[in-house]
Amino acid sequence: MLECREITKIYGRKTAVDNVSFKLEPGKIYAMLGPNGSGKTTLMKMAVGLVKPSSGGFYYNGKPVGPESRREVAYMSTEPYFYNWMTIKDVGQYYDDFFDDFSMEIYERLIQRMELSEEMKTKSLSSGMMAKLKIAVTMARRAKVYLLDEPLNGIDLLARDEIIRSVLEAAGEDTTLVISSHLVDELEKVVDAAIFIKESHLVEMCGVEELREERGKSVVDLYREIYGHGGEATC
Amino acid sequence: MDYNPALPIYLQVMTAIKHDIVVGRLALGEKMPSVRDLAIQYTINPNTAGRVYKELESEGVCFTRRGMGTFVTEEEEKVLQMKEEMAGDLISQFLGGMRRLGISREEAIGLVARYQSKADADGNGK
Amino acid sequence: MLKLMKYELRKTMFSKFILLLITAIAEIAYLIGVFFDWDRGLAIGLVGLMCCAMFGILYIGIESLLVFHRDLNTKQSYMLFLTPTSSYQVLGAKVIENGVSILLTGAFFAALAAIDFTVSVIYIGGVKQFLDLLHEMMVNFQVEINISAQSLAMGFFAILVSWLMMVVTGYLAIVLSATVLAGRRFSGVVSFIIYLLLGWVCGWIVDRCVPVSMVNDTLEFVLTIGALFIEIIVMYLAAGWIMERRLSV
Repeated sequence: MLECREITKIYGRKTAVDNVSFKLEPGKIYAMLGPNGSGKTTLMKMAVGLVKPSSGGFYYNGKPVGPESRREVAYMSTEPYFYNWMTIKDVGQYYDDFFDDFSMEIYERLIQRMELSEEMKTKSLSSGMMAKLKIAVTMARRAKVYLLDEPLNGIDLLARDEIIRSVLEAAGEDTTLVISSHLVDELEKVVDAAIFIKESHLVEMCGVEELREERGKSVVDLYREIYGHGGEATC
Repeated sequence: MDYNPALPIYLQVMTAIKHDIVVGRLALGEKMPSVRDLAIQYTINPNTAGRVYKELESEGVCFTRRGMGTFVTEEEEKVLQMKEEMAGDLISQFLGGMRRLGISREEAIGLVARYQSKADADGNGK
Repeated sequence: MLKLMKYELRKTMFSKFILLLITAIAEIAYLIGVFFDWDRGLAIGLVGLMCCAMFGILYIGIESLLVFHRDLNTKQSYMLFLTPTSSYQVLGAKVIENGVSILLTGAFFAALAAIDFTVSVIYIGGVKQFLDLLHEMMVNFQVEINISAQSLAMGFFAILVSWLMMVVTGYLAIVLSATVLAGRRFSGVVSFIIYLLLGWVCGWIVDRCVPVSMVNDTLEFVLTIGALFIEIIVMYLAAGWIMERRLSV
């Protein structure tokens, strides 16, 4: 489905992503874990073509990602990016105009469930409300792949439940979800597998249940191991 | 629901469901939620939820009717068996804990009896 | 494409509204001047309207570049680059929207001028005089049109090409600076410098390609326009290609 082949991104003197390769399978939910600045965001942006890699690349169904793949790959960035003049309704209209898989009906339902109203100006939203709006407009697409960058950031506990719920609702046999976060324990139960990124490298990729069954460890344990004392874990 | 980090999540959800059946929160023959709804209810991964049903089915705790969904077993006997198993688990856990404290099985049983009569005297017991 | 254009239009709505507002004020001053014999109002109105027409059209052209610069160098870029549209379409929509806007604005001011002229002539000189004037103009125009159909077309193409040149050079300059500087400071200034450079290079190439000592002026004109068109297309494709392959937002 979505595949990352030996991708490297260099910004000036800094290497943001260093020779990362992995393959995502349909029907699975992945957690992309790592502290801030480890390269998760750059990696996700390259997966939709917002950022161009220095070498290597992302492939969707065997073809390099680009305008075509964006029909089926939904991405939610950490930063707000809507035009200043937009209301919540305008945001939905924009998505409806550009994405065939967008459903206004689902959007309206999600907006209501997140306790937002369509007349609100995006300019005046609090960070929590903005996070909810971003997730609502992204999850209202019936995409094949969802890439969510820090969807739980800056959000109160109740809203987190709501977001996780909308993620679970979108999951299906032929959809793939990737959720980046540094809130590990909240994602652990929800995901199939975890991708650990550390200092622009892919350190490890493993299944949550396999980890528990084979090594008697939780993802949280492994997270502490990997980032806690700096040593690289072996799978 | 809080999960034990060392145990697979699907096992823990299975235990929770079995518990619900044993205490009657889920009735015999009752229809269970769909895989997706189970995932949402326990906020777990949908594939894990699917595995929960598969394992419960292979243990005979649940069964699937084609096109209708998953149902709780209709056999009373199965429930009794589950109840016994769960009680057995609790007891072996208890005894294990006692052994680690250096208390023998006989002593432990004595302690239980004493604890129970004290609780009764305080009016807390049933 | 239409949807992209719709949002391009929406982005420049505010300044167009302001332009309309100032135009309306100038128009009112002008009309009061005409109807109440207020010379100063008439003068203010006339100058105001002319300024609105000139600077308005110029600003609409420049604003298109400003909007594009913002579209590439702020987070709002995601709005464009997350959609399943190619960079060529994004650029094309911008060029067409801007062209249509300028054309409509030009037509609007031309119509307004015609109406204002008519009103003032009728009011000040009476209907009889106006009809005479109209008749005279018609006669003149018919004579004129025989001579100037060609030069009219040439004028149109000259304006079209110089506007396209400005917009597309500007876009390419902005894309280049955004690709190299990745939204860092001074990207605006750098864009402008690249813009000047590109303009100079394009002029230099056209000078080399079109022989100066042509016997036929018209042929020279056509060749120049043709060469400029080719340059415009090359720059448009280059800008789209860089955006698609190299630009990180």
